[in-house]
Amino acid sequence: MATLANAPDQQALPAPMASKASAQADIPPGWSYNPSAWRDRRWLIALAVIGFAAAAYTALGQFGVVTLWDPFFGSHSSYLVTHSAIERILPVPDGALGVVGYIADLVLGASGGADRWRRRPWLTLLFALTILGLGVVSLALTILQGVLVQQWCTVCLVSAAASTLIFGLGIGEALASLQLLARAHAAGRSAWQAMCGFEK
Amino acid sequence: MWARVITIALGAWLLIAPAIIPTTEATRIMDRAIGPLVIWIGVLALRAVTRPTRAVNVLAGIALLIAPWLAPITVAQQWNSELAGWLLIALAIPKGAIHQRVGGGWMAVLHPRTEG
Repeated sequence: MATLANAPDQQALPAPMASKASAQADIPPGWSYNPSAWRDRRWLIALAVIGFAAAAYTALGQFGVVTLWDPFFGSHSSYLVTHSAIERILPVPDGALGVVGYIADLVLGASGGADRWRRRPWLTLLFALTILGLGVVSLALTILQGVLVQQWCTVCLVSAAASTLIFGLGIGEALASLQLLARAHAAGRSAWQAMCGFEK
Repeated sequence: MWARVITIALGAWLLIAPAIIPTTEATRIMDRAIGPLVIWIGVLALRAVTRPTRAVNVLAGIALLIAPWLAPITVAQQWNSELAGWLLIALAIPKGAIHQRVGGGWMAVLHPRTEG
């Protein structure tokens, strides 16, 4: 995706001052922190790795490769959850879908720099849709565990916790981007152009 | 923050309540459905960005309040529902301390402040 070349509008400051100045500029207007900063995204990526591991392990259990270890509710309980009718609604076991979802989280969460809310709003919005989808589905599966299956699965709950935290951590970038688009639109500029990253 | 922490604990209580107090099938389903939702919202609402999601917990509290009129219910669950419902609503209404500024939040998307 084409972006504007780095505009030569920064004076030649000494390196530490230049990076601190640009880090300051990366904070969205009216915010007290930068939601795209690596400080938060590190956690996000770590959680996505944990979620990926949980989903992969669940998928292996659903394909019959392993017996799920469950220190709290017992392997049989986990088995009942991961082989319930709900898991068979979809053509693919939901563990496999979770793997795809967490890989998407990893790729979309790690792409772009600390100013991506501003320079690649389309990316943060795409990421927001992914983490929202994964978060809502995780919640729904957790509810179904207790309501329909009446058994619990520790690994599934770990995955649900991971996707919830990822959602909470990642949605801030989308808010900053949406505010950027709204400001552009209100000022008479194209929100679409802003989304593609042409807004300063 | 404490409102959110207590909310999460309340959600956890709702999850395990059917195993502890006498429960009908309908209230078991309700507790096991609302419990995870309350926990989910409670965790999300910890941060300033997602603080507005606590509105969902107000709805959950209302659902708990009206449940005794809609489904067969034991006395213990009736008390549980009513108390949990009121507590949820009371915890969800106040905004709580905001430790991070988020540029006006989600309302700023609808009513943006433009630069000069």
